[in-house]
Amino acid sequence: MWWLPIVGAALYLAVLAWISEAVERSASLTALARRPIVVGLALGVYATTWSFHGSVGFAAGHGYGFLAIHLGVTISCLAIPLLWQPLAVLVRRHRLASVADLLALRYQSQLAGVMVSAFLVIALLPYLSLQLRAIVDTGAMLSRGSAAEGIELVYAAMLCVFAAVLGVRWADVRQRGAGLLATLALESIVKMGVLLLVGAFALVRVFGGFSGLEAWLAEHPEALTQMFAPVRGQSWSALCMASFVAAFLLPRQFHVAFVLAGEGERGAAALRHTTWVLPLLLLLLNLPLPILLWAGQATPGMSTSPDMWVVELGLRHGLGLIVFAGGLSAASAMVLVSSIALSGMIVNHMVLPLAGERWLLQRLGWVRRVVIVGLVLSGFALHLLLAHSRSLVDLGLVSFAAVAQLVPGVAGALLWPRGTRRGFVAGLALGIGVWIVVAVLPLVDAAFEPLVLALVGKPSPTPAEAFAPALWLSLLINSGAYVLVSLTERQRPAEAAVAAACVRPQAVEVRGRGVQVAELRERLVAVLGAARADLELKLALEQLGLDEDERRALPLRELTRRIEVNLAEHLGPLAAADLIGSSASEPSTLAALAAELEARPPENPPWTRGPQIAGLEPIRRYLAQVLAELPVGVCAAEADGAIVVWNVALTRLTGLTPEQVLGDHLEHLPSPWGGLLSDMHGQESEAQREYTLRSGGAPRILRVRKTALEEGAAGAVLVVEDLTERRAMLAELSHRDRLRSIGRLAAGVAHEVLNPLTGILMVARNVSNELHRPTAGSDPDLPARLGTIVSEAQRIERIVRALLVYSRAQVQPAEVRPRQRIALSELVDDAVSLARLARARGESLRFEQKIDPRACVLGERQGLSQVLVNLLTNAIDASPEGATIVVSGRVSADRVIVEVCDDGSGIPMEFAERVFEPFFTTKDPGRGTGLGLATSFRIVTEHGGSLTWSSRHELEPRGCAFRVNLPMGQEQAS
Amino acid sequence: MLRDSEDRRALDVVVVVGAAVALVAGRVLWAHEAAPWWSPFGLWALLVGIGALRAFTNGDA
Repeated sequence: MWWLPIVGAALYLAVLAWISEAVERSASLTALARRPIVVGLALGVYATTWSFHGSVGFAAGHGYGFLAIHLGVTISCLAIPLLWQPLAVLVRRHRLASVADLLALRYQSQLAGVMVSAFLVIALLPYLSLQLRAIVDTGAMLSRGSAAEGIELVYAAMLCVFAAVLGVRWADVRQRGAGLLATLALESIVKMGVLLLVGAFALVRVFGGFSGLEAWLAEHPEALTQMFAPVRGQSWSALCMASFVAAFLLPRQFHVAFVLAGEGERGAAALRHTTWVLPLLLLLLNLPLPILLWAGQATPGMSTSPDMWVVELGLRHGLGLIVFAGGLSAASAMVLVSSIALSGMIVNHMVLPLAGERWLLQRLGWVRRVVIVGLVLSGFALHLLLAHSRSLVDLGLVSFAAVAQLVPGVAGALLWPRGTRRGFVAGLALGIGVWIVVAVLPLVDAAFEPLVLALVGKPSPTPAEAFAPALWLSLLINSGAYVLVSLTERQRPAEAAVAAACVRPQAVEVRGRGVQVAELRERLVAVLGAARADLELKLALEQLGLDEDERRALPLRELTRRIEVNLAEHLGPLAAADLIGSSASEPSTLAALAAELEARPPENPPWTRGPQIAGLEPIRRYLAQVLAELPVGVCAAEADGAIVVWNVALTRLTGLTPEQVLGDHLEHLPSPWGGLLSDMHGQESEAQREYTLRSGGAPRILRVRKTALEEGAAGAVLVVEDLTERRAMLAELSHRDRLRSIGRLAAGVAHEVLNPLTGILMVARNVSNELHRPTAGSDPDLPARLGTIVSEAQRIERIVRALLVYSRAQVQPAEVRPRQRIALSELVDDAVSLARLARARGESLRFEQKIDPRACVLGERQGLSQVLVNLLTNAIDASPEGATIVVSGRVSADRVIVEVCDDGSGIPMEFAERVFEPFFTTKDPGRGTGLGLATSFRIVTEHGGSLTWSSRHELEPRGCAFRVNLPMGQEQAS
Repeated sequence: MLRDSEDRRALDVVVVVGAAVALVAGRVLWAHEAAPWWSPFGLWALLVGIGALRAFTNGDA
């Protein structure tokens, strides 16, 4: 029946493979496998054949010392919130697949990745071979020693096929295999169940129950003494420490806990429940072991070493095949996950960097298959080479001491950002050296045992006794070198950036440059080929919800980062960064940082965690606020035109918000701003230009000044001022000034003209009076001609007096003239009377007054009266015989509106702009001075009102309505 | 029930340190000659219970 174990093993592995595939295909089974406790059970892969078979042998030599390798794990599980969770955040954030990825990323060193990968492969390969050996040995025992020759090859081939088929199935880390988790959890339950079953059988069959066990222990007190005594020895703490670390740093543990456990809340919940699930699993797994040891001691004629007592006791009680299945489950689970984890390290850090050919990158799946098979076969080869005399414990402890060498580096990654690449490499190299000399060489050759003797202080120490000094010495030298070298050198900027991000994995990352989509695709195609490049690009764009024509700096940086992270899952973080060509250590552009600040809430930004920097944050915000609120538009751009600053005034001017433009380039802005600002940005260091924008509505006049930034950040500041209103105001002031000058000139001329004119008029009138007494010889037409002189001189006098009134008002400030509250009805009555007197035609026209009795105005009576008289006389002059002139007055809110409407000849529209200009008139020559409306406009304006006009008929220039809008005269408080 | 994350973190530290002390320094008690054979497993079960308590209370917080 030598073939029975082989067939059983084949069947068992086939069923496991089928179950894993069934879980992947069934939604309900997948959901079951995603439950948090499954990860804790899957982490039971920690317990290999060393635990299953070797623990009894360990207990035989070291008593309860064997519990240390599991109790340390229990403490480690209690530290999950403190150590595992931050590590998980870091691993998931950067999509790392192994501890080698983590250390290569943290120390920005491919050498670190290569060292860690090579070291772990070398250190764990014996452990891998140990699993094969345990299966072969138990299979041979089941076959009662027959046909053992050559059987190793069969088991090795089976494990190869199993690991290659299932391992490759989940080698792609994007497949967070529920099937793999379910398989591992099932195997944990199987090995635990088998041990409990065998222990229960031994307890009942050998001791007759717990009472019998107690009685046996009472009869053999030395058995209990041998169990407790080693616990109080020196090796206990070292074993606890090593297992504490191995619980999450062993490649298979790291893979299950951080890669397979899932992301987000699911991953966090899985780790949270691992706090008790894994310790409980290990407790139940270990509980039968002392009973099995004592059962072996109590059973006469045990023929094997204690390492095989579980199998022998199982065979004695008819459970041989079941025990074989338990051992097989422990071995196959370990081989499966270890080969997946180690193959990832080998491919990412040894194969790709050494042979980073394009064809290799495009066939990563096959490369991983080859590496997995190669690993299992190497384990088999080592199994053939290793001396069979070495116990399971020897090989297990060597691997534990190896994994502990990663502690300084990982602790530095999580807690100490000052650690440097050289420090890590130096510490690891020295730690490995000590590990080789103290732990490995004495196993290989007895000639090296004096080294152990010097450390332990006694000849022929047990493996556990030799383990403690080897572990502490290697860790001390490793950590010391790491710290000393790190402190004696300056950290590279690249390292410092990543180190800070590792210590604060929750912090928002603000480093890295964005690359344009087309350029990204080119880089990907060059390495991955067009099809794979398009897939990666499409995946990242979909994940971020972006389009291919994205140009903004912040989303482009996110896209670059996402592709890098996605590729890191396959290639490792450094290879992915090299491929994308954007190192995370590279500082962000100012534009991207500005966009980051704009896009994220300003409260407690991640870069303000240091106390000194935190103190600067209020100042930064204050200056940002000042810049934002400046009344002129301010835009700062980097040398390549990427926009860094875009303040509120510029937003009002352009309608473009900071969220839209920050990080973008000036030339990409919509017209006309893109051309205008990029044109100015391209000017000499100092430049100033005025632009007139005519995009609909009134033209806008802008002045843009450029100041180049030479020191610190290169680029330029563009200050944009809207001069439209200022120019209009200046034009108005200039117009008024001109009018005032004309007024002064006119006043001077009028004064000078009026004096002689008065004299001329007086003389002319006297002469005319004298000529009314006819004398002989006098010219009979002379009185008529003199009358013409008098009337023309009177006309000149009227013009000059009007000019004098107008010019006096221009010169005299309005404020000095007294104002009073005047009833509008009185004002209108007086004005109508004066107008009738001023114009003889006034008698033939009808005046209609519609005055609200409440209407009162505040102003200078004489001035306002003059306004109304001017408007009425104009209306009289324009109206035909018998026409009606309507004067209305009404109150609107706090204003009084007076309208003078006529039905006269009207004003042609081409003169609309000139109606209120001085000396402009549409009347016949000699009938108007052109100063009435100009004077009225000025007086109304001085009263805080407005004078407007409109044609009463839209289609023809007939009839005018002049509208005076004045402030309401309020009642005086008595 | 602890509401503040700092409190929870402090308690996590206390639990880990306490467990480590019990495991290393406390072994003079539970690994004493006169202790029952199951005493290490009793300590282990206690640590499992504490872990379960922390897992469920942290999950609810």
